[in-house]
Amino acid sequence: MPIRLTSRNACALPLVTVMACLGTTAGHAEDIPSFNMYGTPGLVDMPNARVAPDATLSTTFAGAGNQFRSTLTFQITPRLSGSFRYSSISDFPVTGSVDGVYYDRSFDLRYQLLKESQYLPSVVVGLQDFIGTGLYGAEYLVATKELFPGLEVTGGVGWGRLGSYDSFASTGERPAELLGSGGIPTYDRWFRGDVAGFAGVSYSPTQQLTFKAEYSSDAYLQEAAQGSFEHDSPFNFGVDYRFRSGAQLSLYHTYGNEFGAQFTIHTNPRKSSIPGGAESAPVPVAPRAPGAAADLGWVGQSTDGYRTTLAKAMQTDGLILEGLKLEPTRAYVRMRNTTYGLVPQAIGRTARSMTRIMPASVETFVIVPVQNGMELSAVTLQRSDLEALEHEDNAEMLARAQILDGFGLAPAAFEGQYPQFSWSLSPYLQFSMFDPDSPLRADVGLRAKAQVRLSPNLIASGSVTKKLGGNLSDTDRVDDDALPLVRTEKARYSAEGDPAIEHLTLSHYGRPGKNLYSRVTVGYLEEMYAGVSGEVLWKPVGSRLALGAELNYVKPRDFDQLFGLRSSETRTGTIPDFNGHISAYYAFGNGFHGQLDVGRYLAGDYGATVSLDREFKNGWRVGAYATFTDVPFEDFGEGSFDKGIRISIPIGAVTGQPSTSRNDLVIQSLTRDGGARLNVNDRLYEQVRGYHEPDMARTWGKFWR
Amino acid sequence: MSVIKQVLGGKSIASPKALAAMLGTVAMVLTGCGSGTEADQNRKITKQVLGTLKGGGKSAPSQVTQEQVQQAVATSTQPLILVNLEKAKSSTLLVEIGRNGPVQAFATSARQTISLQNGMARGTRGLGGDLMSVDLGGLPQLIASKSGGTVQREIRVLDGEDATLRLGFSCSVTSTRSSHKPVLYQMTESCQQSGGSIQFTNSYTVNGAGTVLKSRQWFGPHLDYIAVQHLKF
Repeated sequence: MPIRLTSRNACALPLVTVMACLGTTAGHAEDIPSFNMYGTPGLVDMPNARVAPDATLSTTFAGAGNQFRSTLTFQITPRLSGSFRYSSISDFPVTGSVDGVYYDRSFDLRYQLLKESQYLPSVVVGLQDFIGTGLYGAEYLVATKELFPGLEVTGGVGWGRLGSYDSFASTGERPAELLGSGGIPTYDRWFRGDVAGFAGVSYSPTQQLTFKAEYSSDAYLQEAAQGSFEHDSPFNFGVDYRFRSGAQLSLYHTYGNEFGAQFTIHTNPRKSSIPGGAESAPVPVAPRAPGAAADLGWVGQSTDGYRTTLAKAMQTDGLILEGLKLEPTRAYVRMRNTTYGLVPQAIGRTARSMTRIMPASVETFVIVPVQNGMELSAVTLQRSDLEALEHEDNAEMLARAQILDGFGLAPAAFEGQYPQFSWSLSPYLQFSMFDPDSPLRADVGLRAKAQVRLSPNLIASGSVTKKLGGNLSDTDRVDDDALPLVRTEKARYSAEGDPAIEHLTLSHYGRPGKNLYSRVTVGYLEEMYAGVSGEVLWKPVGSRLALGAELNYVKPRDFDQLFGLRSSETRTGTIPDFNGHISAYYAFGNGFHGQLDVGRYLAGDYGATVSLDREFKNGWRVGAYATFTDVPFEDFGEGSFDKGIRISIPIGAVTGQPSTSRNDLVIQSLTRDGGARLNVNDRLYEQVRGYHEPDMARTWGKFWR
Repeated sequence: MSVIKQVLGGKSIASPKALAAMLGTVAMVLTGCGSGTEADQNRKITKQVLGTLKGGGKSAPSQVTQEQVQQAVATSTQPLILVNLEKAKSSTLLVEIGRNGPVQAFATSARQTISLQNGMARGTRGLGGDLMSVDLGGLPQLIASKSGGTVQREIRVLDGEDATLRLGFSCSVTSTRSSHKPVLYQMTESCQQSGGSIQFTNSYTVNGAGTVLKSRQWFGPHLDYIAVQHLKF
């Protein structure tokens, strides 16, 4: 079962590499339990009831006998964890296998019902492979208790795979038929069928070493039936070595006849890199001399000197002064932030510079951050507060700061700043993982980008790629689709688009009114479509809720990805001209963020996409999404509906240097034609949200940094 | 500032952990060339990481020599301190670049600052794992009067998620006269985290006027202990 892993950034790297890079930052390694071959806390093949610290992100590679599994596990909340697994089973010649190797993906969920206490064990309930083909499908209830320091015992009962060896009871019928075309929860099977017990013990004489032994309730019936797999013994043994970074290396003896090995690395978004960052210091606040504020001698004189000095000071901090309006007691600054991923830091550094430069009578600073000509908010700060609170708790400054809608508050941009031209040339890496014919495909090449800002609000932008090598287009899969081919001709685009114009657009951004933001993009919008895309966003500056609407008129582009268009007619239907969505965005306030998009997708199918992300203050995001449309599951094909997992890594949190870039990784089911959306650049919500009160309050700790 | 540049050759003080973290992430950065802000940002990050790779790792524990100190004291017109980051095993000279009320800001030539109130730590910037702010409680009064007592204080840092971590401490302060001519007091401040397990002990050498001449203080979980010597007031 193929899955695509995509990344939208110049510095795209495989997930594996990213995880390896981050492996050193897991922090308190001693709190992380031993992981098993399924990449979840456990013994050898069996789970236990240990739970990793909140937000731990673990990557496991494990192999024994004919099994190889790679698993990504995220501790979603202190009690709930989720896993995504991609596995290969060799000597398993079932339908869908390639040269006897069967590739499969699976999802798990684990929830801790009971925390360990002096007399009671930790208890976890788990659903294994609950959403895929169910090959690894199992449910379990497991308890683990530490008897003496370092000595733990585990016992549990399992259904499905974990109820297949020497079962002692049965709870109803476990259906063998899949629901839909796979890919939807196998709820009709849960906790049904044969029940068997499993148990294990682990002993850690030192912090580095753990010895494990288990009695497995998995008989490996399907593997044994298909090929040369032999299940000689239910007893598995293992030893872990724990590195200082928390990484785990394990060696196993399994099934009575095989040897196995495992490597697990951990990272944690909450413990990333250098706390607070390693960027250089801001300038100190310069307090005014007593009585100086009464001096209005500068009023009426030229203010060009203030402008030049402030622009230079802000430039040192990586900020752009685009406009300045000075009143006797008030200064309005139009600021563009291209450096700080956490916006309060950009505001704080601007304010510090202003205390050193603005005439003493200016008491109120109104800092209006502007992006693509849109005033994103207006942060009003009293200069005497800045002077008094420079060395105090940042919460005191937050309490005195006013974050208002920036509509109409930005001073006009200085004359002569536009047009602005910028360009870049960088290598790129695009890859696709998990295609059964070739589990890892990649292209490398060069990407040239250019941008002309004709006015603050009007931007012409283009990006061209030239492939240097790779095998991304080698795939020869043909889909029997009931929908127009809106996405499944990807391989042809990839093969013929060399060089390719990734996009070439003219975009206009605006503020049609209070709380409102707008975008119109015209041109070659993305690699497969050209047309017009319009969007409006309603987002009050203090609101955790935003609503948006997008309408697109599109025509498919020629496969060579140059200037031509092709007919909307495809082998399986006509690509409709119009698609669009209305969207609701909501920050729950507890670190979770939800998004609901309802509308018409590229193939003309109607439906909704639900997304939920856990968002960390430093900008890390880990989430999942699913799209349900009116396409029947059997017409959608393999997987039944589009769904995926995504991780967004802020470059700033990883390098310790402030940055507005992020690296997005999306693990998606094979790109299909149902539930597909247009990939237009620079949608409004992501541009706006960081500058509004809810996000700023969350990241305010960076204000004085 | 020019004095400092000459003395230090523009070197910055960095902790080994910070270096390790940056080395670990070098593979993340795959960048090219260009103009404009995005390219600038990529270049800056690349430069930082490459700079770290090239020389930073080896030269991180740098020490200021006695000659450098003498030269700096002789030529500087501004207040001057010598600090020793014990964890990073590096020492450096900092010169005063600003004052806000009772707080003096001292800086290295590499844009790193340490803020002190009569020698007592109020914050750092640019060292990595910075001390963001401090509520000293009643400590300034005890130091000024060279007397013992108890104080409640709070130390604030950013954690790995960039969220503000507020650590409260109960401290007991003692004062001993260690020298009569000149008059010097040796003061210690032993602190225990309220509702936590962090402990630290700061020491201050205070003159007859209640001015801190040198100290060894805990600057938070990441920076650990930093010794500060006031070379010029």
